[in-house]
Amino acid sequence: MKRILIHSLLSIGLALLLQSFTPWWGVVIATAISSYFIRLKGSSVFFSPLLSIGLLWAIQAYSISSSNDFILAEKIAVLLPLNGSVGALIAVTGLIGGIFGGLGSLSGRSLKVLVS
Amino acid sequence: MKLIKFIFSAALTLFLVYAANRGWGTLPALGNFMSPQTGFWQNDQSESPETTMQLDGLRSEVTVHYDSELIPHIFAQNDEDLYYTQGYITAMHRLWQMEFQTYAAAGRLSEIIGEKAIEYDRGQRRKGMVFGAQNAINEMLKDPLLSERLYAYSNGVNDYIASLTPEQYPVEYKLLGYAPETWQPEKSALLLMYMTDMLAGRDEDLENTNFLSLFGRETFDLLFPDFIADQDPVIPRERDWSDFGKVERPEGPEGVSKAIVQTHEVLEKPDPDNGSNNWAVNGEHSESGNPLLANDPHLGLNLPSIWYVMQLSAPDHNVMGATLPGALGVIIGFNDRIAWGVTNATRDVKDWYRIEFEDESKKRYRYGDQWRDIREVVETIKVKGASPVLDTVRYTHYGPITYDETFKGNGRENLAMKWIGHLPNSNQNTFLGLNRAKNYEEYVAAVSTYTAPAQNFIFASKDNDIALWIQGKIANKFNEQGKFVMDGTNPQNEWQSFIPQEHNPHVRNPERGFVSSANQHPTDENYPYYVYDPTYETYRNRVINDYFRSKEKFSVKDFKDLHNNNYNLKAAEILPAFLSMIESEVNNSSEAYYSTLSSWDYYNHTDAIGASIFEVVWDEYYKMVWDELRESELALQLPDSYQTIWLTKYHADHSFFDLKSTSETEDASALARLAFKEAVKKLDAYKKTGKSLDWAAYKGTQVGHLLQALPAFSRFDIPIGGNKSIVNATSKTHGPSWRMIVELSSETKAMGVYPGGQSGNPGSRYYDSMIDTWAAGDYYELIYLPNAQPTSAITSTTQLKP
Repeated sequence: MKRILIHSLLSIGLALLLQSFTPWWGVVIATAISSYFIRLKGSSVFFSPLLSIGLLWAIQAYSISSSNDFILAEKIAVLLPLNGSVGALIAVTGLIGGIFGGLGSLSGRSLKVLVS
Repeated sequence: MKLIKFIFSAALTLFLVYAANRGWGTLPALGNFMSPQTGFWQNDQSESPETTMQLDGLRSEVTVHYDSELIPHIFAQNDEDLYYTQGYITAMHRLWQMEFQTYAAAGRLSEIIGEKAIEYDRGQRRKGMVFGAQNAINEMLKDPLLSERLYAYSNGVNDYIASLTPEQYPVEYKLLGYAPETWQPEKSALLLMYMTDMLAGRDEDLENTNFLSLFGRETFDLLFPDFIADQDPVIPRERDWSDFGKVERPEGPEGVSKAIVQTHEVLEKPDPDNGSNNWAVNGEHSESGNPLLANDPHLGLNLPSIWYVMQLSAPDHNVMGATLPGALGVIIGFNDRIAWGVTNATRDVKDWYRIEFEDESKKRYRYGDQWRDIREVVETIKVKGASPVLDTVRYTHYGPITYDETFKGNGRENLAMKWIGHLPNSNQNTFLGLNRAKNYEEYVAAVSTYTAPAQNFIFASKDNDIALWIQGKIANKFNEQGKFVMDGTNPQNEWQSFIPQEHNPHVRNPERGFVSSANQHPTDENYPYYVYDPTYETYRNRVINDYFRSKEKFSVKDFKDLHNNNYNLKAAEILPAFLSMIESEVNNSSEAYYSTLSSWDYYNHTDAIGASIFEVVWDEYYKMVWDELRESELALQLPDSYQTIWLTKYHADHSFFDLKSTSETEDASALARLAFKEAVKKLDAYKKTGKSLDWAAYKGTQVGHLLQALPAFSRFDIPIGGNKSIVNATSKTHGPSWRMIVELSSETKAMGVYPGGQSGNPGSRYYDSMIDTWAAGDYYELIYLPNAQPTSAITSTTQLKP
């Protein structure tokens, strides 16, 4: 459990650092690095970063948008279409970030297994 | 096994990153679009101007104040800095729109929205939109002062673009997956071309020719007369033209009014309702003793709005009003001496010539007794997600051959376009001149070089002058020249000269004490030059002029009321006749509609149920009257409402009233009864949906985003009255796109509003912040600062430093 916590913190820290100069897929690199150095077991290799990066994206999205009364979020939730639900839009945002976090993590872990 | 695991997970990751990094069909690149760091979330913010900015392109410091509607008030120390800052700030709030409109003008929409725009793009190129813009920019760049200003504006836009990182791009770029490109002065010319096309791009020559071939001369004249009895022209009828002396008129060849070609498919036309109102009274007719001026241009209702309000101040002038993102200066506005406005002065300035080629190689065409060379232009239309499309457009000395065997028309013949929009011009200068004009003489100097789209330039000044020049470059035509497709082999069919500028109709301080225009006929039939256009407006002008004849003095409140006037003159002129024609048809199920209609006062107010019923009955009737024309295989134009009503009243047994689909022979009364029956069915069906029959609800006015009214970025069901042909010309998707009233008191006072907001960002609170005020018929005070000192109305200030 402690390992998962450290992994999550490292992933989030790296994601925050990388995203200032990489495209959106910086999160893939962040979790790949985390999983290369910190060994997670079983399904947590995918699901731990799914949760941590998913949360990161969701919180970031919420905090940007809430300070503007969700004006654009409400419109994009019509466009996508999510029936105008900002909650669903934030959830989808988190899910997309999370899935790529998980994929990065899987790749990092399998690389580590390969070279060790 | 380890290797396989690695390859599998790495490949899956790479593939999904790739898949989420590009758009699929109408879906944006999801990874990029949804990311809080790069995607649309970054656009979820409203403007909060910075306090200082370093801009290397400036020569001196510039102050930009903002008021509570995000209207910038720019104070520069020289003209170059002024236009640089105009470009920079406009791009900051409207970049995507500026670019999109110039892409649309140039026929480049396929580049950003893909294959569905190819036919549109071909049409734009075959109309010679870029050809016209190039002719204009070449002319404008010859003028060193204008050239300097155009480049200053362009540099401002480009410095703003260069300051952006991709996550800061407007959300539409992210949605469609492209990036802004460099701005050039040519794009300002393209934007003006976009307006020229919107306002002077309509003609009905091909349809007229088809009509003539199907129904003959007599019927054509009956349904499409050049002048009408009820007209109340822009220039008052009292004007006697004898001071022109005997004017030179060209000779036309025999048989110019013959139908020489039939066509099935024509280019999409600009909305016939593109028009406007303006009016002004002098001090003697104003309650305050100050001249008053008002203007409201009617255009498609779009977001981001076509107008952007600014105050532009430099040492030699201080002007405020509505600008067009992409063009320099203020287009409709006022300064500390004068106010001006425009309405479209429509005239047939686009003609068609049938071209005869020497042989199939299409290299030379006949002109008189010689052969002339064709100039071939191969247009390359880039298409998003597909390979480019090539289209050969052949240019004659008239202009481009728009219709040929590959494009619309009749799939066979070659028709070349002659259009005022293609001629070299410096129209941009007219507006920069008006921005600085201090009196009548400077106003006339500014408008006198203006070519197209011809406008009714209304004017009022603190010298208590009111005036209106109908200004544009207008061909001096022989009778009916260009009303029908002409034979391009005969040089006599050419535009041989232009009406001398000083003979353009104008009026200064008329006896009646007011000047006005609403897209009606410019003059009565005594004006010594040939005047023709198929779309002169016939209702708004009479309501406006009758109002100004109704009393002695007018106030700002009267001007507001007139902007918002919902009186439906068309209904007043036909409904009483309708009611008696349909009375015998009324039964239990239609009784309620009939009685609501009978007690309706002809005002299209928001809650008027009578207005909804009238509009449904009228639409049904109009469709039934012209069934023969609507069902024809040839391209035809339907006669307008005015002429339809005239025919109903004075030729009720004309064969057009006979409905082709029935065995009986109907007259106007019988048709009105059928229309009423059909309308009742429609109204009953509508009522079953549970929606209100109040006029505003039934009409459902909307302001649609420029991207095909993308619902998420549009506003629907806006509660506002009016309709086309009403002074408050708000229909479902079209209406007053800017309303301005100026009082020329010692300190100029003005108010304005438009159905949008200053920001082009759908995520900004300023995106549509003025719509409710506009719908309610209210205005914002336009904060006209005399100098760079901020007042309490200023909410923030940005200091721009070189």
